[in-house]
Amino acid sequence: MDAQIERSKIVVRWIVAVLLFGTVVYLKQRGEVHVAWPPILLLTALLALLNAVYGVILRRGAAPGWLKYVTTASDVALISALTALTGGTRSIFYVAYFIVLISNSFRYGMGMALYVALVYNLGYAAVVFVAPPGGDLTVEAVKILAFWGIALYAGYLATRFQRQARILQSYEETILRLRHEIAQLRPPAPG
Amino acid sequence: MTPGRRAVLTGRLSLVVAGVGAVFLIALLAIAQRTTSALWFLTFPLLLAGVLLAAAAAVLRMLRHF
Repeated sequence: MDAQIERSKIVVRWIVAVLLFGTVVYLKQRGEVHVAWPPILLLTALLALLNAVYGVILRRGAAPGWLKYVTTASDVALISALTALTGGTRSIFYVAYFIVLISNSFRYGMGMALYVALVYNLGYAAVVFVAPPGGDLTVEAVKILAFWGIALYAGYLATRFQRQARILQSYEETILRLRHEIAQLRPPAPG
Repeated sequence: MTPGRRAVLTGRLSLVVAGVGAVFLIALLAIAQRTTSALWFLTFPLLLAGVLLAAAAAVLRMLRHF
């Protein structure tokens, strides 16, 4: 199950990487993002390398238990680096954190939602530390607390969906079992 | 509670936990409002966990679970 989810995350990661890289190029050409090419290319290469390594690990069979935590942490770390490079607390790429949060919490549930919020908390604190906006940090604190709130809500919704999916699966299994039992009870056709 | 089972969270303990949670909440809001260093944000997960645990204990007490 985890291997299937991680494989689909690899595909999503390629798509998001292309979109983010394209957005950086576009905004850089318009002069709205002031960042040199080497760090952007380095980040993109690192993302491609990590995604390829994850693909190789998954090709060997079942996903190791630690893989989902490593892939999530690396995604948040790369987004933190991109955010820090492209304006820090005013970066447009801040929204990319939410892709990681929603994608992982809906796939894995409340535990992963809390893990994403924890890693985001560390990553975004590092962004604010490296590129401080100046003055007090109330807005940044509210952003972090709001992210925790969204993570808790996303985790709650994911837990509800998972429970409903399990109930539905048990209904399907019951229907199949009953069909089988009815078929065995039915008398053979005359003649 | 089932007879014979030892209570893990008693009424008195829930009161203490709720009190500690209130202190954590005040600390959280004070940091959010006053801090000028991002390093203080690293305490948020711990403080939030404390606040949520305390809120859960307070709700159990309000529902007269004990």
